[in-house]
Amino acid sequence: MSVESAVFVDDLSVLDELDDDFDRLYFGNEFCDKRLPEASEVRAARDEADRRGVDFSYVTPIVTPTKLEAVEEILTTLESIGADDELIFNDWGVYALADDLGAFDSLVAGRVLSRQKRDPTVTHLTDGGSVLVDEEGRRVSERVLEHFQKSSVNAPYSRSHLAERGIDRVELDVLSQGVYDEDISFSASLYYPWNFLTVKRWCRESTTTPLCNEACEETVYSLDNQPVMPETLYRKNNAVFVYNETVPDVSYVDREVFVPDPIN
Amino acid sequence: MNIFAPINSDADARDLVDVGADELYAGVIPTEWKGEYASVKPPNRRANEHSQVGSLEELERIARLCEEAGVELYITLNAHFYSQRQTTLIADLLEKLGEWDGITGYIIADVHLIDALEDEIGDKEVLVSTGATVFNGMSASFLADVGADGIHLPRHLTIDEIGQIRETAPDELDLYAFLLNRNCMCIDGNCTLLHNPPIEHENAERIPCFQEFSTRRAADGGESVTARLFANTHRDTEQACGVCSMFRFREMGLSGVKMVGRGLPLEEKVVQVRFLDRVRGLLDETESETEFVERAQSLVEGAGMTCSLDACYYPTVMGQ
Repeated sequence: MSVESAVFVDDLSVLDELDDDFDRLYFGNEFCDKRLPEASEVRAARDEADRRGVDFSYVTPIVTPTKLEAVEEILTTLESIGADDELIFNDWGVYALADDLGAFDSLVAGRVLSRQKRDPTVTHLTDGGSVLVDEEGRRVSERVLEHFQKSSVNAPYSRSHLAERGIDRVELDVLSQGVYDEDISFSASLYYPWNFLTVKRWCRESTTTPLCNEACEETVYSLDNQPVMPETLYRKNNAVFVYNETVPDVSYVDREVFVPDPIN
Repeated sequence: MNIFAPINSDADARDLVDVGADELYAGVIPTEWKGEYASVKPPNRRANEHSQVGSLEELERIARLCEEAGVELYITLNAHFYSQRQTTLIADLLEKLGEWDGITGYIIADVHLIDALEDEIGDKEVLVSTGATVFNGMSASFLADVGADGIHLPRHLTIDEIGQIRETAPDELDLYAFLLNRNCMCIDGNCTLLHNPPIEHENAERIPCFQEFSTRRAADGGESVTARLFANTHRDTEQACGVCSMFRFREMGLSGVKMVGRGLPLEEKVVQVRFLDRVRGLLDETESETEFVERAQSLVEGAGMTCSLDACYYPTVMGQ
Protein backbone atom coordinates (compact mmCIF):
# COMPACT_ATOMS: atom_id res chain seq x y z
CA MET A 1 0.00 0.00 0.00
CA SER A 2 1.35 3.42 -0.86
CA VAL A 3 1.60 5.85 2.01
CA GLU A 4 0.57 9.44 1.47
CA SER A 5 2.78 12.11 2.98
CA ALA A 6 1.31 15.16 4.67
CA VAL A 7 2.62 18.23 6.48
CA PHE A 8 0.63 19.95 9.23
CA VAL A 9 1.19 23.66 9.91
CA ASP A 10 -0.73 26.51 11.49
CA ASP A 11 1.49 29.11 9.83
CA LEU A 12 2.23 28.93 6.10
CA SER A 13 5.67 30.54 6.52
CA VAL A 14 6.84 27.31 8.22
CA LEU A 15 6.58 25.62 4.81
CA ASP A 16 9.58 27.65 3.62
CA GLU A 17 11.77 25.71 6.02
CA LEU A 18 10.55 22.28 4.93
CA ASP A 19 11.13 19.96 1.97
CA ASP A 20 8.54 20.30 -0.77
CA ASP A 21 8.13 16.58 -0.95
CA PHE A 22 4.61 16.07 0.40
CA ASP A 23 1.22 15.16 -1.07
CA ARG A 24 -1.14 16.96 1.26
CA LEU A 25 -1.18 20.16 3.29
CA TYR A 26 -2.86 20.14 6.72
CA PHE A 27 -3.74 23.60 8.02
CA GLY A 28 -5.46 24.72 11.22
CA ASN A 29 -5.26 23.72 14.86
CA GLU A 30 -6.63 21.02 17.12
CA PHE A 31 -6.51 22.09 20.71
CA CYS A 32 -7.62 25.68 21.22
CA ASP A 33 -10.42 27.57 19.54
CA LYS A 34 -8.90 30.89 20.61
CA ARG A 35 -6.31 30.17 17.94
CA LEU A 36 -8.83 29.51 15.20
CA PRO A 37 -7.52 31.07 11.98
CA GLU A 38 -9.43 33.75 10.12
CA ALA A 39 -11.40 32.63 7.08
CA SER A 40 -8.92 34.53 4.90
CA GLU A 41 -6.01 32.52 6.35
CA VAL A 42 -7.76 29.23 5.60
CA ARG A 43 -8.47 30.43 2.05
CA ALA A 44 -4.79 31.36 1.69
CA ALA A 45 -3.78 27.89 2.86
CA ARG A 46 -6.20 26.31 0.38
CA ASP A 47 -4.66 28.45 -2.38
CA GLU A 48 -1.16 27.45 -1.26
CA ALA A 49 -2.10 23.78 -1.55
CA ASP A 50 -3.39 24.47 -5.05
CA ARG A 51 -0.21 26.31 -5.99
CA ARG A 52 1.86 23.36 -4.84
CA GLY A 53 -0.42 20.85 -6.54
CA VAL A 54 -1.22 19.00 -3.31
CA ASP A 55 -4.47 18.11 -1.58
CA PHE A 56 -5.78 20.10 1.35
CA SER A 57 -7.05 19.22 4.84
CA TYR A 58 -8.53 21.87 7.11
CA VAL A 59 -8.13 20.90 10.78
CA THR A 60 -10.49 22.20 13.46
CA PRO A 61 -10.40 22.02 17.28
CA ILE A 62 -13.06 21.63 19.93
CA VAL A 63 -15.13 24.78 19.63
CA THR A 64 -17.20 26.76 22.06
CA PRO A 65 -20.53 28.27 20.90
CA THR A 66 -19.14 31.60 19.69
CA LYS A 67 -16.28 29.95 17.82
CA LEU A 68 -18.67 27.51 16.18
CA GLU A 69 -20.10 30.55 14.40
CA ALA A 70 -16.58 31.40 13.24
CA VAL A 71 -16.10 27.87 11.91
CA GLU A 72 -19.40 28.19 10.07
CA GLU A 73 -18.15 31.39 8.46
CA ILE A 74 -14.96 29.65 7.36
CA LEU A 75 -16.82 26.67 5.93
CA THR A 76 -19.31 28.81 4.04
CA THR A 77 -16.69 31.13 2.54
CA LEU A 78 -14.18 28.51 1.43
CA GLU A 79 -14.20 28.20 -2.32
CA SER A 80 -12.79 25.72 -4.80
CA ILE A 81 -12.82 22.79 -2.41
CA GLY A 82 -11.49 19.79 -4.32
CA ALA A 83 -12.94 16.31 -4.27
CA ASP A 84 -9.90 15.08 -2.32
CA ASP A 85 -9.93 17.92 0.19
CA GLU A 86 -10.94 17.12 3.74
CA LEU A 87 -12.30 18.62 6.90
CA ILE A 88 -10.67 17.07 9.95
CA PHE A 89 -12.92 17.61 12.97
CA ASN A 90 -12.18 17.14 16.65
CA ASP A 91 -15.64 18.09 17.84
CA TRP A 92 -18.90 16.35 16.95
CA GLY A 93 -20.60 19.74 16.70
CA VAL A 94 -18.21 20.71 13.91
CA TYR A 95 -18.95 17.39 12.23
CA ALA A 96 -22.71 18.04 12.44
CA LEU A 97 -22.27 21.58 11.14
CA ALA A 98 -20.12 20.49 8.20
CA ASP A 99 -22.49 17.65 7.43
CA ASP A 100 -25.41 20.10 7.38
CA LEU A 101 -23.56 22.55 5.17
CA GLY A 102 -22.15 19.89 2.85
CA ALA A 103 -18.96 21.93 2.82
CA PHE A 104 -16.55 19.03 2.30
CA ASP A 105 -17.11 15.67 0.64
CA SER A 106 -14.69 14.05 3.04
CA LEU A 107 -15.01 14.33 6.83
CA VAL A 108 -12.26 12.85 8.98
CA ALA A 109 -12.31 12.13 12.74
CA GLY A 110 -9.34 13.97 14.25
CA ARG A 111 -6.79 12.54 16.63
CA VAL A 112 -8.48 14.09 19.67
CA LEU A 113 -11.48 11.85 18.93
CA SER A 114 -9.49 8.67 18.38
CA ARG A 115 -9.20 8.34 22.18
CA GLN A 116 -5.81 6.59 22.17
CA LYS A 117 -4.14 6.28 25.58
CA ARG A 118 -0.91 8.18 25.02
CA ASP A 119 0.42 8.28 28.58
CA PRO A 120 4.06 7.07 28.42
CA THR A 121 3.64 5.38 31.82
CA VAL A 122 1.70 2.68 29.96
CA THR A 123 5.14 1.33 29.06
CA HIS A 124 5.56 0.30 32.71
CA LEU A 125 3.37 -2.61 31.61
CA THR A 126 6.17 -3.86 29.36
CA ASP A 127 8.70 -3.43 32.11
CA GLY A 128 7.48 -5.89 34.72
CA GLY A 129 4.38 -3.99 35.79
CA SER A 130 1.11 -5.62 36.85
CA VAL A 131 2.13 -9.25 36.78
CA LEU A 132 -1.32 -10.51 37.68
CA VAL A 133 -2.10 -13.80 35.98
CA ASP A 134 -5.55 -14.81 34.77
CA GLU A 135 -7.07 -18.28 34.84
CA GLU A 136 -5.44 -19.13 31.51
CA GLY A 137 -2.02 -18.26 32.85
CA ARG A 138 -1.82 -15.14 30.70
CA ARG A 139 -0.48 -12.00 32.27
CA VAL A 140 -3.23 -9.44 32.59
CA SER A 141 -0.68 -6.84 31.60
CA GLU A 142 -0.40 -8.35 28.11
CA ARG A 143 -4.12 -8.02 27.51
CA VAL A 144 -4.21 -4.51 28.95
CA LEU A 145 -1.16 -3.48 26.96
CA GLU A 146 -2.86 -4.70 23.79
CA HIS A 147 -5.88 -2.58 24.69
CA PHE A 148 -3.72 0.49 25.22
CA GLN A 149 -2.14 -0.01 21.79
CA LYS A 150 -5.58 0.27 20.23
CA SER A 151 -7.97 3.12 19.58
CA SER A 152 -11.60 3.42 18.57
CA VAL A 153 -10.64 2.38 15.02
CA ASN A 154 -9.77 -1.12 16.24
CA ALA A 155 -13.29 -1.82 17.48
CA PRO A 156 -15.76 -2.93 14.78
CA TYR A 157 -18.62 -1.18 16.59
CA SER A 158 -16.78 2.16 16.34
CA ARG A 159 -15.82 1.68 12.70
CA SER A 160 -19.39 0.77 11.89
CA HIS A 161 -20.73 3.93 13.56
CA LEU A 162 -18.13 6.08 11.84
CA ALA A 163 -18.90 4.54 8.46
CA GLU A 164 -22.63 5.13 8.95
CA ARG A 165 -21.79 8.81 9.39
CA GLY A 166 -19.76 8.87 6.18
CA ILE A 167 -16.42 8.93 8.00
CA ASP A 168 -13.81 6.57 6.60
CA ARG A 169 -10.59 7.87 8.13
CA VAL A 170 -9.33 8.52 11.64
CA GLU A 171 -6.24 10.37 12.77
CA LEU A 172 -3.85 8.68 15.19
CA ASP A 173 -0.64 9.34 17.07
CA VAL A 174 2.45 7.20 17.33
CA LEU A 175 2.28 5.61 20.80
CA SER A 176 5.16 4.88 23.16
CA GLN A 177 3.66 1.43 23.78
CA GLY A 178 3.23 0.72 20.05
CA VAL A 179 0.26 0.98 17.69
CA TYR A 180 -1.81 -2.19 17.36
CA ASP A 181 -1.71 -3.70 13.88
CA GLU A 182 -4.44 -5.81 12.33
CA ASP A 183 -6.15 -6.25 9.00
CA ILE A 184 -9.10 -3.85 8.98
CA SER A 185 -11.00 -2.06 6.23
CA PHE A 186 -10.49 1.47 7.40
CA SER A 187 -7.98 4.22 6.74
CA ALA A 188 -5.87 5.93 9.34
CA SER A 189 -3.21 8.62 9.47
CA LEU A 190 -0.28 8.64 11.88
CA TYR A 191 1.08 11.92 13.25
CA TYR A 192 4.75 12.33 14.13
CA PRO A 193 6.96 13.38 15.84
CA TRP A 194 4.80 15.52 18.16
CA ASN A 195 2.13 13.40 19.79
CA PHE A 196 -0.25 15.12 22.14
CA LEU A 197 -0.97 13.80 25.64
CA THR A 198 -3.44 16.19 27.12
CA VAL A 199 -5.15 19.52 26.69
CA LYS A 200 -6.61 22.04 29.07
CA ARG A 201 -8.52 25.26 28.74
CA TRP A 202 -8.07 27.28 31.92
CA CYS A 203 -5.25 29.59 30.91
CA ARG A 204 -4.09 32.58 32.87
CA GLU A 205 -1.87 35.55 32.46
CA SER A 206 -1.43 36.06 36.15
CA THR A 207 -2.52 34.50 39.39
CA THR A 208 -5.60 36.67 39.52
CA THR A 209 -7.17 36.08 36.13
CA PRO A 210 -7.88 32.39 35.78
CA LEU A 211 -10.10 32.78 32.75
CA CYS A 212 -8.92 31.66 29.36
CA ASN A 213 -7.30 34.51 27.49
CA GLU A 214 -5.85 35.32 24.11
CA ALA A 215 -2.29 35.78 25.33
CA CYS A 216 -1.26 32.15 25.47
CA GLU A 217 2.49 31.75 25.64
CA GLU A 218 4.52 30.41 22.72
CA THR A 219 7.48 28.95 24.62
CA VAL A 220 8.00 25.18 24.58
CA TYR A 221 8.97 23.74 27.97
CA SER A 222 10.53 20.35 28.61
CA LEU A 223 9.30 18.43 31.64
CA ASP A 224 11.36 15.62 33.16
CA ASN A 225 10.52 13.18 35.92
CA GLN A 226 12.34 9.98 35.00
CA PRO A 227 11.94 7.15 35.78
CA VAL A 228 8.40 7.77 37.04
CA MET A 229 7.55 9.38 33.71
CA PRO A 230 9.57 7.32 31.22
CA GLU A 231 9.81 10.06 28.59
CA THR A 232 10.42 13.78 28.52
CA LEU A 233 7.19 15.71 28.11
CA TYR A 234 6.89 19.01 26.26
CA ARG A 235 4.38 21.72 27.07
CA LYS A 236 3.28 24.40 24.66
CA ASN A 237 0.29 26.66 25.12
CA ASN A 238 -2.52 24.57 26.58
CA ALA A 239 -1.26 21.13 25.54
CA VAL A 240 1.39 18.59 26.50
CA PHE A 241 3.26 16.44 23.99
CA VAL A 242 5.83 13.66 23.69
CA TYR A 243 8.34 13.37 20.88
CA ASN A 244 8.28 10.15 18.82
CA GLU A 245 10.38 10.26 15.68
CA THR A 246 9.99 6.65 14.57
CA VAL A 247 6.86 5.89 12.58
CA PRO A 248 5.83 2.24 12.90
CA ASP A 249 4.59 0.19 9.99
CA VAL A 250 0.87 -0.34 10.53
CA SER A 251 -1.14 -2.03 7.78
CA TYR A 252 -4.20 0.24 7.92
CA VAL A 253 -2.14 3.46 8.07
CA ASP A 254 -1.98 4.91 4.58
CA ARG A 255 -0.92 8.44 5.51
CA GLU A 256 1.89 9.89 7.62
CA VAL A 257 1.47 13.41 8.92
CA PHE A 258 4.62 15.33 9.77
CA VAL A 259 4.02 17.90 12.52
CA PRO A 260 7.09 20.16 12.57
CA ASP A 261 6.10 21.93 15.79
CA PRO A 262 3.76 21.18 18.67
CA ILE A 263 0.74 22.90 17.19
CA ASN A 264 -2.19 24.22 19.11
CA MET B 1 -32.20 21.60 40.35
CA ASN B 2 -31.06 18.09 41.19
CA ILE B 3 -27.97 17.08 43.13
CA PHE B 4 -26.15 14.29 41.30
CA ALA B 5 -23.89 12.48 43.75
CA PRO B 6 -21.37 9.62 43.65
CA ILE B 7 -21.63 6.44 45.71
CA ASN B 8 -19.66 3.23 46.18
CA SER B 9 -21.88 1.33 48.65
CA ASP B 10 -25.42 0.88 49.90
CA ALA B 11 -24.48 2.87 53.01
CA ASP B 12 -23.50 5.76 50.73
CA ALA B 13 -26.81 5.56 48.92
CA ARG B 14 -28.87 5.61 52.12
CA ASP B 15 -26.98 8.47 53.75
CA LEU B 16 -26.66 10.69 50.67
CA VAL B 17 -30.36 10.38 49.86
CA ASP B 18 -31.08 11.32 53.48
CA VAL B 19 -29.13 14.58 53.16
CA GLY B 20 -30.54 15.69 49.82
CA ALA B 21 -29.12 13.79 46.83
CA ASP B 22 -31.71 13.34 44.07
CA GLU B 23 -29.69 11.30 41.62
CA LEU B 24 -26.87 8.85 42.35
CA TYR B 25 -24.21 7.23 40.23
CA ALA B 26 -21.94 4.28 40.80
CA GLY B 27 -19.46 2.01 39.07
CA VAL B 28 -19.11 -1.74 39.24
CA ILE B 29 -16.66 -4.20 37.71
CA PRO B 30 -18.32 -7.47 36.65
CA THR B 31 -16.51 -10.64 37.78
CA GLU B 32 -15.66 -11.70 34.23
CA TRP B 33 -14.19 -8.29 33.47
CA LYS B 34 -12.05 -8.46 36.61
CA GLY B 35 -10.75 -11.84 35.50
CA GLU B 36 -9.63 -10.49 32.16
CA TYR B 37 -8.48 -6.97 32.97
CA ALA B 38 -8.21 -6.92 36.77
CA SER B 39 -8.70 -3.33 37.89
CA VAL B 40 -5.90 -2.10 35.61
CA LYS B 41 -8.39 -1.33 32.88
CA PRO B 42 -11.80 -0.90 34.52
CA PRO B 43 -14.98 -0.21 32.53
CA ASN B 44 -15.45 3.11 34.30
CA ARG B 45 -12.05 4.82 34.59
CA ARG B 46 -11.61 4.16 38.29
CA ALA B 47 -8.78 1.74 38.97
CA ASN B 48 -9.23 1.99 42.74
CA GLU B 49 -11.36 -0.82 44.13
CA HIS B 50 -12.78 1.59 46.71
CA SER B 51 -14.33 3.68 43.93
CA GLN B 52 -16.46 0.72 42.88
CA VAL B 53 -19.54 -0.88 44.37
CA GLY B 54 -18.20 -4.17 45.73
CA SER B 55 -20.44 -6.58 43.83
CA LEU B 56 -23.50 -6.87 41.61
CA GLU B 57 -25.42 -8.13 44.63
CA GLU B 58 -24.70 -4.90 46.50
CA LEU B 59 -25.59 -2.90 43.39
CA GLU B 60 -28.93 -4.70 43.26
CA ARG B 61 -29.59 -3.72 46.87
CA ILE B 62 -28.76 -0.12 45.99
CA ALA B 63 -31.11 -0.25 43.00
CA ARG B 64 -33.95 -1.47 45.22
CA LEU B 65 -33.19 1.24 47.75
CA CYS B 66 -33.27 3.92 45.04
CA GLU B 67 -36.51 2.59 43.62
CA GLU B 68 -38.15 2.73 47.03
CA ALA B 69 -36.82 6.21 47.70
CA GLY B 70 -37.78 7.53 44.26
CA VAL B 71 -34.15 8.39 43.51
CA GLU B 72 -32.51 8.01 40.11
CA LEU B 73 -29.53 5.67 39.84
CA TYR B 74 -27.03 5.69 36.97
CA ILE B 75 -24.19 3.28 36.25
CA THR B 76 -20.93 4.70 34.90
CA LEU B 77 -19.51 3.24 31.71
CA ASN B 78 -17.36 6.20 30.91
CA ALA B 79 -14.17 4.81 29.36
CA HIS B 80 -13.21 6.81 26.29
CA PHE B 81 -13.32 3.71 24.11
CA TYR B 82 -13.71 -0.04 24.50
CA SER B 83 -12.41 -3.03 22.61
CA GLN B 84 -14.95 -5.28 20.92
CA ARG B 85 -14.45 -7.89 23.66
CA GLN B 86 -15.09 -5.30 26.36
CA THR B 87 -18.23 -4.22 24.53
CA THR B 88 -19.51 -7.79 24.75
CA LEU B 89 -18.85 -7.82 28.50
CA ILE B 90 -20.71 -4.53 28.86
CA ALA B 91 -23.62 -5.85 26.81
CA ASP B 92 -23.84 -8.81 29.22
CA LEU B 93 -23.85 -6.40 32.15
CA LEU B 94 -26.57 -4.23 30.62
CA GLU B 95 -28.77 -7.24 29.95
CA LYS B 96 -28.68 -7.98 33.66
CA LEU B 97 -29.11 -4.37 34.79
CA GLY B 98 -31.92 -3.90 32.29
CA GLU B 99 -34.09 -6.16 34.46
CA TRP B 100 -33.71 -3.95 37.53
CA ASP B 101 -36.27 -1.17 37.76
CA GLY B 102 -34.09 0.78 40.18
CA ILE B 103 -31.49 1.49 37.50
CA THR B 104 -32.43 4.66 35.65
CA GLY B 105 -29.69 4.62 33.06
CA TYR B 106 -26.03 4.75 32.13
CA ILE B 107 -23.33 7.40 31.95
CA ILE B 108 -21.44 6.84 28.70
CA ALA B 109 -18.51 8.74 27.19
CA ASP B 110 -18.01 6.79 23.96
CA VAL B 111 -20.41 8.11 21.33
CA HIS B 112 -20.08 4.93 19.30
CA LEU B 113 -21.01 2.74 22.26
CA ILE B 114 -24.42 4.42 22.60
CA ASP B 115 -25.18 3.41 19.06
CA ALA B 116 -23.70 -0.08 19.37
CA LEU B 117 -25.61 -1.00 22.54
CA GLU B 118 -28.93 0.55 21.60
CA ASP B 119 -30.78 -2.75 22.11
CA GLU B 120 -29.15 -3.51 25.46
CA ILE B 121 -29.74 0.04 26.70
CA GLY B 122 -33.41 -0.39 25.83
CA ASP B 123 -35.64 2.04 27.69
CA LYS B 124 -32.95 3.07 30.17
CA GLU B 125 -31.62 6.60 29.90
CA VAL B 126 -28.24 7.62 28.52
CA LEU B 127 -26.39 10.49 30.14
CA VAL B 128 -23.37 11.48 28.11
CA SER B 129 -20.26 11.77 30.24
CA THR B 130 -18.08 14.85 30.31
CA GLY B 131 -15.59 12.58 28.52
CA ALA B 132 -17.56 13.15 25.31
CA THR B 133 -16.51 16.85 25.35
CA VAL B 134 -19.73 18.61 24.43
CA PHE B 135 -18.60 22.21 24.01
CA ASN B 136 -21.42 23.61 21.84
CA GLY B 137 -25.12 23.22 21.07
CA MET B 138 -24.53 21.46 17.74
CA SER B 139 -22.53 18.82 19.56
CA ALA B 140 -25.35 18.45 22.11
CA SER B 141 -27.88 18.05 19.30
CA PHE B 142 -25.66 15.45 17.62
CA LEU B 143 -25.48 13.45 20.84
CA ALA B 144 -29.27 13.70 21.24
CA ASP B 145 -29.63 12.26 17.74
CA VAL B 146 -27.35 9.39 18.69
CA GLY B 147 -29.51 8.62 21.73
CA ALA B 148 -28.51 10.84 24.65
CA ASP B 149 -31.12 11.92 27.18
CA GLY B 150 -28.75 14.18 29.06
CA ILE B 151 -25.24 15.57 29.07
CA HIS B 152 -22.68 16.21 31.78
CA LEU B 153 -21.04 19.34 30.43
CA PRO B 154 -17.25 19.80 30.57
CA ARG B 155 -15.78 21.61 33.55
CA HIS B 156 -13.96 23.92 31.17
CA LEU B 157 -16.94 25.96 30.00
CA THR B 158 -17.77 29.42 31.26
CA ILE B 159 -21.21 30.21 32.62
CA ASP B 160 -22.04 32.18 29.48
CA GLU B 161 -21.01 29.27 27.28
CA ILE B 162 -23.16 26.90 29.33
CA GLY B 163 -26.06 29.31 28.85
CA GLN B 164 -25.47 29.38 25.09
CA ILE B 165 -25.45 25.58 24.95
CA ARG B 166 -28.67 25.43 26.97
CA GLU B 167 -30.31 27.85 24.51
CA THR B 168 -29.33 25.91 21.41
CA ALA B 169 -29.48 22.29 22.62
CA PRO B 170 -32.78 20.39 22.32
CA ASP B 171 -35.14 21.35 25.16
CA GLU B 172 -35.68 17.74 26.20
CA LEU B 173 -31.97 17.19 26.77
CA ASP B 174 -31.04 17.36 30.47
CA LEU B 175 -27.87 19.36 31.08
CA TYR B 176 -25.70 19.12 34.19
CA ALA B 177 -22.72 21.20 35.33
CA PHE B 178 -19.92 20.21 37.70
CA LEU B 179 -19.51 21.56 41.23
CA LEU B 180 -17.14 20.71 44.11
CA ASN B 181 -14.21 18.34 44.50
CA ARG B 182 -11.58 17.50 41.94
CA ASN B 183 -11.26 20.32 39.46
CA CYS B 184 -9.46 18.42 36.70
CA MET B 185 -6.88 20.60 35.01
CA CYS B 186 -7.28 18.83 31.70
CA ILE B 187 -10.32 18.56 29.48
CA ASP B 188 -11.55 15.08 30.35
CA GLY B 189 -12.19 13.69 26.88
CA ASN B 190 -9.03 15.25 25.48
CA CYS B 191 -6.83 13.88 28.21
CA THR B 192 -5.10 10.66 27.22
CA LEU B 193 -3.21 10.19 30.49
CA LEU B 194 -3.97 7.23 32.73
CA HIS B 195 -6.72 8.29 35.08
CA ASN B 196 -5.45 6.49 38.15
CA PRO B 197 -2.05 4.91 38.76
CA PRO B 198 -3.32 1.40 37.99
CA ILE B 199 -0.05 -0.25 37.09
CA GLU B 200 1.80 -2.08 39.82
CA HIS B 201 5.37 -1.03 39.21
CA GLU B 202 8.25 0.32 41.26
CA ASN B 203 8.15 3.56 39.28
CA ALA B 204 4.40 4.01 39.23
CA GLU B 205 3.51 6.98 41.40
CA ARG B 206 0.84 9.60 41.23
CA ILE B 207 -0.93 10.22 37.95
CA PRO B 208 0.99 12.56 35.64
CA CYS B 209 -1.01 15.71 36.45
CA PHE B 210 0.11 15.49 40.10
CA GLN B 211 3.73 14.61 39.49
CA GLU B 212 6.48 17.19 40.03
CA PHE B 213 8.56 17.79 36.90
CA SER B 214 11.90 19.45 36.37
CA THR B 215 10.67 22.11 33.97
CA ARG B 216 12.82 24.29 31.71
CA ARG B 217 12.63 26.08 28.38
CA ALA B 218 13.24 23.49 25.67
CA ALA B 219 15.04 25.84 23.29
CA ASP B 220 17.94 26.90 25.48
CA GLY B 221 17.71 24.72 28.57
CA GLY B 222 17.11 27.74 30.78
CA GLU B 223 16.78 27.55 34.52
CA SER B 224 15.02 24.48 35.85
CA VAL B 225 12.09 24.81 38.23
CA THR B 226 10.16 22.02 39.89
CA ALA B 227 6.51 22.25 38.93
CA ARG B 228 3.44 20.27 38.04
CA LEU B 229 2.21 19.73 34.50
CA PHE B 230 0.61 23.11 33.89
CA ALA B 231 1.90 25.03 36.90
CA ASN B 232 2.20 28.79 36.59
CA THR B 233 0.47 28.97 33.25
CA HIS B 234 -2.86 27.40 34.00
CA ARG B 235 -5.20 26.91 36.92
CA ASP B 236 -4.22 23.95 39.00
CA THR B 237 -6.64 23.30 41.82
CA GLU B 238 -7.55 20.03 43.49
CA GLN B 239 -10.42 21.26 45.65
CA ALA B 240 -12.98 23.25 43.73
CA CYS B 241 -16.30 24.86 44.57
CA GLY B 242 -18.48 26.93 42.22
CA VAL B 243 -21.76 26.76 44.18
CA CYS B 244 -22.47 30.46 43.66
CA SER B 245 -23.21 29.65 40.02
CA MET B 246 -26.32 27.67 41.01
CA PHE B 247 -28.39 30.86 40.82
CA ARG B 248 -27.61 31.26 37.13
CA PHE B 249 -27.84 27.55 36.47
CA ARG B 250 -31.40 27.59 37.74
CA GLU B 251 -32.23 30.59 35.57
CA MET B 252 -30.78 28.82 32.53
CA GLY B 253 -32.80 25.70 33.23
CA LEU B 254 -30.02 23.24 33.97
CA SER B 255 -31.35 19.94 35.30
CA GLY B 256 -28.75 19.45 37.97
CA VAL B 257 -25.28 19.82 39.38
CA LYS B 258 -22.85 16.93 39.53
CA MET B 259 -20.17 16.28 42.12
CA VAL B 260 -17.39 13.76 41.56
CA GLY B 261 -15.68 11.57 44.15
CA ARG B 262 -16.90 7.98 43.96
CA GLY B 263 -13.99 6.89 46.15
CA LEU B 264 -14.23 9.63 48.79
CA PRO B 265 -15.06 8.66 52.38
CA LEU B 266 -18.80 8.71 53.06
CA GLU B 267 -18.40 11.38 55.75
CA GLU B 268 -16.96 13.79 53.18
CA LYS B 269 -19.69 13.07 50.69
CA VAL B 270 -22.35 13.67 53.34
CA VAL B 271 -20.85 17.06 54.23
CA GLN B 272 -20.75 18.03 50.57
CA VAL B 273 -24.25 16.92 49.63
CA ARG B 274 -25.63 18.59 52.75
CA PHE B 275 -23.76 21.76 51.74
CA LEU B 276 -25.13 21.65 48.19
CA ASP B 277 -28.63 21.04 49.52
CA ARG B 278 -28.32 24.02 51.89
CA VAL B 279 -27.10 26.26 49.05
CA ARG B 280 -29.90 24.99 46.84
CA GLY B 281 -32.33 25.98 49.58
CA LEU B 282 -31.03 29.54 49.32
CA LEU B 283 -32.41 29.72 45.78
CA ASP B 284 -35.88 30.00 47.28
CA GLU B 285 -34.84 32.21 50.18
CA THR B 286 -33.07 34.98 48.28
CA GLU B 287 -34.33 37.76 46.06
CA SER B 288 -31.27 38.50 43.96
CA GLU B 289 -28.09 36.88 42.70
CA THR B 290 -26.03 39.24 44.83
CA GLU B 291 -27.82 38.15 47.98
CA PHE B 292 -27.62 34.49 46.95
CA VAL B 293 -23.85 34.66 46.30
CA GLU B 294 -23.24 36.48 49.57
CA ARG B 295 -25.15 33.89 51.59
CA ALA B 296 -23.70 30.94 49.66
CA GLN B 297 -20.17 32.21 50.26
CA SER B 298 -20.89 32.45 53.98
CA LEU B 299 -21.54 28.68 54.01
CA VAL B 300 -18.33 27.63 52.23
CA GLU B 301 -16.05 27.51 55.25
CA GLY B 302 -18.56 25.43 57.18
CA ALA B 303 -18.22 22.80 54.46
CA GLY B 304 -14.47 22.66 55.02
CA MET B 305 -13.52 24.67 51.94
CA THR B 306 -12.18 28.11 51.19
CA CYS B 307 -13.67 30.55 48.72
CA SER B 308 -11.05 31.66 46.20
CA LEU B 309 -10.81 32.56 42.57
CA ASP B 310 -8.54 29.62 41.79
CA ALA B 311 -10.92 27.19 43.46
CA CYS B 312 -13.99 28.46 41.61
CA TYR B 313 -15.21 26.45 38.65
CA TYR B 314 -16.98 29.42 37.16
CA PRO B 315 -15.13 32.56 38.27
CA THR B 316 -17.33 34.95 36.29
CA VAL B 317 -19.81 34.55 39.11
CA MET B 318 -17.14 36.17 41.33
CA GLY B 319 -17.00 39.16 39.00
CA GLN B 320 -13.98 37.87 37.04
